[in-house]
Amino acid sequence: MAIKTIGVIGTGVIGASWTGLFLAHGLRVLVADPSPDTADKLATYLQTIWPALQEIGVNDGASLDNYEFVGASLGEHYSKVDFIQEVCIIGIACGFNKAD
Amino acid sequence: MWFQQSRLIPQQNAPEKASLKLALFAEIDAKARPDVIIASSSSGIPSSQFIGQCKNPERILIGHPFNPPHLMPLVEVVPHSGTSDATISAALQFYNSLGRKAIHIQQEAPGFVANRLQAALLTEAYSLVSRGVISAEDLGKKVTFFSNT
Repeated sequence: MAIKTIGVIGTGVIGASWTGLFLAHGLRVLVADPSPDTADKLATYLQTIWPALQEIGVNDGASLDNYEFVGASLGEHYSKVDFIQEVCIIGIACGFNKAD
Repeated sequence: MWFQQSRLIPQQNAPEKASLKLALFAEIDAKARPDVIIASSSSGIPSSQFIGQCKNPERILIGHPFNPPHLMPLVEVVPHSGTSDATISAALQFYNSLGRKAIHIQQEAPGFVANRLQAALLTEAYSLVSRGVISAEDLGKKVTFFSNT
């Protein structure tokens, strides 16, 4: 199975960085996180790291815009993803780690 | 420091965090297509501790990156004992296709491999400084200008 669409669940700094890497390789990324303000933080972080990714070299067809923040859960989008990277790392803020 | 934090995890944090991951992975596993690999970035909780409510645990493993993953090439791929060989191969292949250097950790050792090696280096570094063998400044120079780690 060709992996074309990635689901990233939990998007602190590590999840945002994974998202940038996936985008640079021409993949589509669907991102979910229940924390407030996550979508804006993700957009800002991706804008910040994209020049470095371009300098390293991005794939043909790669685009910073080829992602979608879909909300607290992948929900109805689960069926669209070919690989899931979960990123609720211990000790790092993540909306799923409600005890944090 | 990582190795100090890691001493606390088994006593205080792991059961609670593992239970949260248990519920999260039950949801992901129930909703993702059965052919989809589910990789956790966890550096502390091996996947055997949170697959208990999953129906297809053979497609679950750890894909542990280093911060930040878009710049750091190493990824530790850590299966649990029930992860399928096909899942392990596909995960290694996928990360390598992204320009990463994925390595297969064959057992769920706490800290996996990279953090264990780093902890060993840190322990020795603190020992050397505290015994007065070297100043912290010179130790910093050693690590900066000649390091195999």
